[in-house]
Amino acid sequence: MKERKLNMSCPQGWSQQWSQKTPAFRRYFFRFNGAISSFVALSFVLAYLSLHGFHPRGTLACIVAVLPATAIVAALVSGGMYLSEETDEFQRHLFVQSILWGVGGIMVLTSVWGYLQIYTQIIHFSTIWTYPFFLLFQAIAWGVLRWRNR
Amino acid sequence: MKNRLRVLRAEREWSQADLADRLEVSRQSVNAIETGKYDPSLPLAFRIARLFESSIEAIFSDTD
Repeated sequence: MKERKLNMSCPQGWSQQWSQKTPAFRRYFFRFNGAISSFVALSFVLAYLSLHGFHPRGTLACIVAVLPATAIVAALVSGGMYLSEETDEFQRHLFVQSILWGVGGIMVLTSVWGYLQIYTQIIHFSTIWTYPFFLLFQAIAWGVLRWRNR
Repeated sequence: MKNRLRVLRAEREWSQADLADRLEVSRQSVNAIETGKYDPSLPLAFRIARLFESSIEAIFSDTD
């Protein structure tokens, strides 16, 4: 609380901005980044193994295929936990709005892309890109909303 | 919805950050409420009213 008062008198650096974040947001930041880091690491490891002749079959193939998706589920769960833990209702409101923009953005993209696939020779949109694009739209919306309400 | 938050805060010579600390919300929340971009929930409106020792109706108004 006291940190926030002191920070108002001088230009804000990243560390000062960080000190103003709510405890719930800090927890979300670490959980979310942990999940996304796991997703990236798992994706790269599996791609590397696949390129080097690792082609499991049966149950193992299913487990290996689902591994990166579990990291995405963890990232989504971290967002849900943030919403339930955040006590600052306005911050919660901004986060929900950014999620809605993310959902809207990915629905528009996949709908338009789907029709383009039918009527043109555009490349196939793999569903594994759904979450990364949702995240991109949500992140842009989150940034704009925070900038507008700075 | 209009409110007198900025006036009440100015009377006490509090910054937005000071008020945010007292309400245990972010400074952005105070700014959004003051500028009418965001209407607080009933529990937060009660906290604001209690802090300024006033009624909710005396601070918030749905008419000009």
